[in-house]
Amino acid sequence: MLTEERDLAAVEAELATARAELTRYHAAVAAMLEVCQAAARGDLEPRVRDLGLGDEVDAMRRGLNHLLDLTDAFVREAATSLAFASDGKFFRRLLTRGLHGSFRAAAAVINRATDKMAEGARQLQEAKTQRLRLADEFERLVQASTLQVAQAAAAMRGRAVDLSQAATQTAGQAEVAAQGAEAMSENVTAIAAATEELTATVGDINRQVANSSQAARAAVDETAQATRAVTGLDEASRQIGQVVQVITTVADQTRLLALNASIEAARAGATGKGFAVVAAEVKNLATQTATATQQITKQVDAIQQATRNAMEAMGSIGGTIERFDSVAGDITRAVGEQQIATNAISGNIHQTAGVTREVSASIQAVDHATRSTSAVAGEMKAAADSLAALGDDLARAVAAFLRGIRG
Amino acid sequence: MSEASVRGDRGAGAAPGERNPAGRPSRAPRPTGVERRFHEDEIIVSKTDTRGVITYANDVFIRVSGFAEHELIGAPHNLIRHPAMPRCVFKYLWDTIAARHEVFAYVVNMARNGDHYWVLAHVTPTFDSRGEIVGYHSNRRVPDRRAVAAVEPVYAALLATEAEHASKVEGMAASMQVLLATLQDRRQSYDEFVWELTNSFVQEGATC
Repeated sequence: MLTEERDLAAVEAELATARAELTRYHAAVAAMLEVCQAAARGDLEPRVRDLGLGDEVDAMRRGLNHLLDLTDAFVREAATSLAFASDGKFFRRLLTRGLHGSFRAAAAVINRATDKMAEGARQLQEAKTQRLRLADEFERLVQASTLQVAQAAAAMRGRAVDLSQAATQTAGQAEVAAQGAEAMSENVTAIAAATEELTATVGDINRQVANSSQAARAAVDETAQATRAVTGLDEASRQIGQVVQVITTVADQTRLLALNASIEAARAGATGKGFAVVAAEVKNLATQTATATQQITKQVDAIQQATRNAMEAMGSIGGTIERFDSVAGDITRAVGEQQIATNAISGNIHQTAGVTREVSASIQAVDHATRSTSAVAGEMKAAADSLAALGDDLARAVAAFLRGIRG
Repeated sequence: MSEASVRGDRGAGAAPGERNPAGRPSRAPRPTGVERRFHEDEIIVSKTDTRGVITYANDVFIRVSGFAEHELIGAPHNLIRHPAMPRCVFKYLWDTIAARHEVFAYVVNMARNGDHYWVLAHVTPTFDSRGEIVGYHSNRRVPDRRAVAAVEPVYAALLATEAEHASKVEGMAASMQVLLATLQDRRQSYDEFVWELTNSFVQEGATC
């Protein structure tokens, strides 16, 4: 009995102990469950305190805590190492010491990722350095080019302005020249007209001289005819004189005969009286004839004198006309020469007029060309301005580009 | 268990002992000069609240520090502060995590009995769903010995500067200037300084 009682007491004590232990185990399991549930929610802070349990359960507790410690450590380190890496601080690595298995493997992956990031960053930096070097080089080259463009544009603009000014000056000079050419053309036209008038005048003179010559030659002919007529008259008067001589001689002999007859008649007295009367009549007639012939002789002399005078006068007229004819010939020759000269002048004037027109046309061409040049110079200036603006744009674009690639 | 975080070694920047909660003996063991090691596969984990009071210590922390869990929980993190650590490092650490950034630091801690152990501490703020800092978390790994060897003279210089000043505050300010000047000489940020050491000696993916 006693043994049974003792056994019963022992069993009850064991049972009580077992119940108490079971209670503690329940509490431990509940505590661990709570921590596990917290961890499952992502709360890695809670741990299970030492509950004074048996080795197995305490090992389980410590194992759970250790699991949480490793997980906590891994999460903290993974987060911070990646935060550092993303901040470019690649020296911050995930320490693998103390981590095992999957934790260590994952840590190694993260560290390799960090290495890759570091390498990428290094390459980026290299690329950036390269880019900056390229940018510097590009800037050096392009800025030199853009500077040259700007200088070229400025030079071109300067040339264009010079050209424009030159064109303006040329245009002014061309205008002056055009005015001069026009005036010259007018003058030449006037000279040509005057020359033509002169030619016409010379023609008139020539014709008049020719007419005069002809008239003079007609006068000479007429004078010769008159001379011939006067010479005939002189001959006739001389023959009249010879007839008058004969008549005078006859009259003288007649009067002598009459005188003789009267003498004879007077001797014959009365019988001769009648005869004396006839003799006296004959003597009277002879005397009258002598007187008449004397008058005729005087008139014939006068005629001959007049004829001589006329002949002298006509000879003088003939000489004068011949001299006039000679002078007219000279005039005609001179006028002819003058006409040739005038024609030459007229030809020259026409040529000059042609040349003047050509000059005028040339000047117009110059004017046109000058206007074109001026327009071209304007366009060139505008182009130079555009070029300069383009150069500025280019410089700005290059600067922006360089700012861009230099970050 | 409520949300808890590690305050890092922020408490070390303040006067130790003052933060000790009542009932906990003010501990000031002399350094033994004995170094403790823990395994490279292990991580010492602790969490504190925003004041630096420990809210969680993992079993590795408990084993290496020599404190019981109940001694650590509720204690300020400067419980394990070693006198060989310059105050300005903790100041920098605290300022950094308070500014919501993570920080890595080579730290020598002191175990309950005065032994010491080097860690590469990774301290991060813990945020709530609204993004507010609700505590701090620290993972501590076995550091490479060569990194420790490189850090030791730097810390020694900082410590010497702090020792020149009677006032802890003035000493810390002076050593902070030395730290910043050292970094400036190296043309490095603090992060770059730490990671240069770390990356120099930690082989990626190697089993430590």
